[in-house]
Amino acid sequence: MNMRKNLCKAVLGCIFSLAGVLLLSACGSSGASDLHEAEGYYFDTDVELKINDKNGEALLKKCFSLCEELENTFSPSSSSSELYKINRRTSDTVTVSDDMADCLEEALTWCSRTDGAFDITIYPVSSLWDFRSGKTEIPDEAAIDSALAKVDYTKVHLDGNELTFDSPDTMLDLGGIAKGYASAKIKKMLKEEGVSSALINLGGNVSTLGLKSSGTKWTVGIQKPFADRGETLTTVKSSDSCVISAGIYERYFEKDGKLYHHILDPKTGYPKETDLNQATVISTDDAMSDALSTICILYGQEKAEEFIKSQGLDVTVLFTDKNNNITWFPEESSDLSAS
Amino acid sequence: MKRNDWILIAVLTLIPAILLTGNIIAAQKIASPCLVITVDGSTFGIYDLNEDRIIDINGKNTCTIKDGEASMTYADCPGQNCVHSAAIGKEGGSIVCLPNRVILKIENAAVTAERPDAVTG
Amino acid sequence: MSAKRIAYLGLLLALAVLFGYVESLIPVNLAIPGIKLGLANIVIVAVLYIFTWKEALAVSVLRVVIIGFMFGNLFSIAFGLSGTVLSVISMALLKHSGHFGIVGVSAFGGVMHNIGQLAAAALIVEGFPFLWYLPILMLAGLLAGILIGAVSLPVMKRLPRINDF
Repeated sequence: MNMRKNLCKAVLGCIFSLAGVLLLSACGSSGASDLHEAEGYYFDTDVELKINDKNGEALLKKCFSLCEELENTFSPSSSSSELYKINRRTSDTVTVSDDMADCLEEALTWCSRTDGAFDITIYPVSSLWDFRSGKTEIPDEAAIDSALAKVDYTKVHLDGNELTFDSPDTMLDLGGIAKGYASAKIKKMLKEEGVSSALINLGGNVSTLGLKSSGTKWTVGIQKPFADRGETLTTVKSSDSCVISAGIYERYFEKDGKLYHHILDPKTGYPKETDLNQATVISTDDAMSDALSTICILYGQEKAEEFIKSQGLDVTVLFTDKNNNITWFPEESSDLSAS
Repeated sequence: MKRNDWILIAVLTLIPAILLTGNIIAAQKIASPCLVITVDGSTFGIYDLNEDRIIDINGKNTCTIKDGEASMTYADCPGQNCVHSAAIGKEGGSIVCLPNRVILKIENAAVTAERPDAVTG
Repeated sequence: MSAKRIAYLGLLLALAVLFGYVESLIPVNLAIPGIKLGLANIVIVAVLYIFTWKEALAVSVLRVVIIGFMFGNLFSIAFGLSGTVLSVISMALLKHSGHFGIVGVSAFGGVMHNIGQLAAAALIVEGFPFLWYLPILMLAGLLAGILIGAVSLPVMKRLPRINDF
């Protein structure tokens, strides 16, 4: 009799557990994820943040105020920004903020490493082309020549927070590195706040911290050049790394069948003739990814590979040629690609 | 209610529960890439790519599954196109032997187009 | 069979048909076709207990045929018959064994009803995913059967016994 009672209980247990399982599965996967997402507009581009943390909302706000602060440091066009004031300085020596000094130091390193192929004093030329405003006119040749005469990074000297210019008409454009510096700074702040999982997307400069809430790496799509925004060539898995693409499709106009893109050659003052549509640099150093992606376009694939080898840079590059065919460098890196 | 009723209800609950579990496992198996061989339009067999094996197809063709890839290793036809075709894996694809009307095809090919968390500029 | 018995059975048959109709009026949108409560089975179970399995079979078969001619087609009659015949026979066997109560008998009947219908579907429709539907409809039949059995008990207490006639 006792056994039967137990059996009875067991049967009831079966039914209830089954019902429980059904209920649970019906409720769906409302798991314990603390994903907080937000979008904003800084650095002339869309900023997208994903933070997996219970304090996500407060941290998002903190990130955006940091973006605002950095924009107010590096914006070349906002009249209240530090860079704007540096470019319109009244004396040859100016004292700059720590962020400006850090970013400039890194930027000037890339200028000298590339022997001026990458040059942050391109501002007189880039403001002439003014791709940011959507201008579609080729500047006057004489204007380009006179602007080009002002481009020379060796006229800029940084000593601590003291920035000295040899020439009063030298002007800086940190567009090729500032976003990388910004994402690194945001990532560092989040890390210090104890965040273990986040994604920072500054207008396509994608920087990741840790793993997704599902425990897998973040998936970063590589924009297909000249295709609709969001259409991807391939995807890469990213964790604690930064994926940045530079390409001739980002800002450009066509005139008389010729394409004029925004990656300007500091030697000629015109858009750089290149064999690449795009270069994507993956590394743990956001500012390097940013600068190097532009450098790759300026150098072209062959010279870029040589440069990375000779400098011993710990990076992975995805080259996209004019037909949107992709090659990995180093070659064996293709396993980064999500299959 | 009699005790026997409870036992009966328990049995009647357990049987479908087991079947359901089996179905779910089977469904997951089906969802993973597998090799489907058709001859003359009708299914000859469905095979797991993870299991190395050699499949004789009516003595006219031989398909070999090895290391997660399937290839045609023998065909009695003069062309031998299918034998020279590249092996097909979980990414999808097919190998066709036209003279014998044999088709090797990967069903439920691995989907590579996972929506990315972000897209570069 | 006395006239009273026939009249009583006719009344119950009418009730069973009516139950089927009433249930068809209640819109239930379940993802899986074939899941329903089967109110009419209250009557079938009651007949099985008040009369014998023969009367239960007769009432259930007639009910399916009548409903089929009124609202369905030959297919629905075929589905319905295969389910109901299997259900009544298995309920009768279980009841006859004497080891089970009305809820157990009804539960088993519910399960077998759906199995019967699925078997018919598998025979008629080529490539019917029998194994996929089987566990779901078994559980549904079980649940419906238990409910019907539980309801049948008080219903039968209020129905006049056959000996009263």
